[in-house]
Amino acid sequence: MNELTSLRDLGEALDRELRGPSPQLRHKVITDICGRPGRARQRLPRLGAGRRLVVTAALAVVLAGALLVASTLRLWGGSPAASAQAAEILRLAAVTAKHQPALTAGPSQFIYVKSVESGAQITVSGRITHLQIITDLREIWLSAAGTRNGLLREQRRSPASLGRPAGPWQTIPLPGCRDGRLNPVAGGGSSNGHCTPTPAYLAGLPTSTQAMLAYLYQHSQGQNPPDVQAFITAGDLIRESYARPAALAALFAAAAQIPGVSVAGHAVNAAGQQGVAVQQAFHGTSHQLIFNPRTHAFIGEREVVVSASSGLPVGTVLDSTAVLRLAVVDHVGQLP
Amino acid sequence: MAATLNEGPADVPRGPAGEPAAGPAGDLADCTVIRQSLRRPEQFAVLYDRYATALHRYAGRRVGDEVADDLVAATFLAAFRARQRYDLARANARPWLFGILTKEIARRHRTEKARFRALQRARSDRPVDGLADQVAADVTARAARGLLAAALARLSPAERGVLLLIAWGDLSYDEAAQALAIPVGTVRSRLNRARRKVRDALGGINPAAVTEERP
Repeated sequence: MNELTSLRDLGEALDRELRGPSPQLRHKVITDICGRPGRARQRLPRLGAGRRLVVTAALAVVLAGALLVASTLRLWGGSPAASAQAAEILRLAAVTAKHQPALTAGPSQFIYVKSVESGAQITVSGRITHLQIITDLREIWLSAAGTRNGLLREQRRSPASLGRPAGPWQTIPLPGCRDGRLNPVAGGGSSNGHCTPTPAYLAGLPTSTQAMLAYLYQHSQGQNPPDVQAFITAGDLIRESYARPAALAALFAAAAQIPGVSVAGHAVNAAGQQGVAVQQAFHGTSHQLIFNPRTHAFIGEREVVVSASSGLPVGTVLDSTAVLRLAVVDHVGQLP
Repeated sequence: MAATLNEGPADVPRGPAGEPAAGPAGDLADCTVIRQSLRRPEQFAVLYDRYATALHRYAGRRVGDEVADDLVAATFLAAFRARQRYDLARANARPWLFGILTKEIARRHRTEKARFRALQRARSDRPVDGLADQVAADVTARAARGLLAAALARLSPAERGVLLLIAWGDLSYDEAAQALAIPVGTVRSRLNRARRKVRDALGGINPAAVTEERP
């Protein structure tokens, strides 16, 4: 027996006097992180922005052998023609948005969004690295006013067939914020943190292009360059929330004026729907907003590798989403 | 669209106790979960479920249960905020999280010292009750425990950090080096110094030899 063994024995003896994590700790940690669901998502800096993607040679080989069907990236770049094409797509998207029937939601109601989220996952087993696509069907109920408890349900789906469940449903309660305090949620303790409600029904957004453009720059909270962050904020605003037709139209029109926004040609969303996309690239990846090629309705987003300097082959789709349904409902768990 | 990439079951990272991490994220490497959490903060719960128990046990040993709750919460929050800087080539986040926890503990070094001093005193203060051989064993264990606690209290914070990450955190030398962002050679030298000090503090008493005298 040496001093390390004695220390380990002491550690085990001390364990017998410890009770372990308090029952509320998990809840506290998770509400610290996700307590303000909408805002927490919006605050997220762009994927790939501040980090260096370090990928081993082995991974690069795996990726090269098993790549997603790379979508058209030829038109990639910030040429005047590409910007003009992007502006045209966004102009049509704005026209479509403006003519959507307006939804109204009272403060006690919920915005329901059904979507598919898909991501390229890197798993490491010893020295062997796999790349696989993980796809989740996602349903979220977010309080229109941000004051009531919402809910997120997710189920892993087979990427080959979205209709086929590949795992159990997972539910995550999302505490609303009332009177400066997070509401208690099932299975959790209380949180002491101060909060402000995050409405999912975005009632106060600007409705003119210039005002919206200013809004996008002023309300950007990430750590990226302003033009990059403004485009990210545009994506954040429309993700799992509802903006009224005039505001949504202004948002698309404003996005066309952000420097570096160009056409991405056609793109596929996470549900396999073909679309046309506008994009902005930063640090080797391109953030794309995807629209229906005929109606120009917004159908999802994705993040694609556009420069090998990121360590991944060009064309790798890192993340994608597809918006399947957006509606106003009265209760959490209620389907439209 | 992605069917070509679904190439069979991925390996299952094991939790600290060897059990597979629960939930649909159970087959994902930590680096993948962290990457996902960039867009989906709630994914960070997966890391909590994998490591909170081990981190709490480690912190609890060093600073006690109550403070451990605070430190573990602070660790996950700090990790969440720093997740953009996580080196995605590192599949296993255990050293990273232990490194953050070590910094949090360093801020409470007074609490830790007070705890070790209290453990040192506990050998004589606490009444011993029970069967004679059990009493003897307890007395022996407490003697060793008091000496160890005293030795730990006297180590420099850097030495204590390395020694306990290895003895209590079950980190390898390489992992400890990652956790503390120091070269592995420094881990070795600090560890050797710390072990020698603890050995000296135990004096001539070999705890094993004492225990062998049990009837």
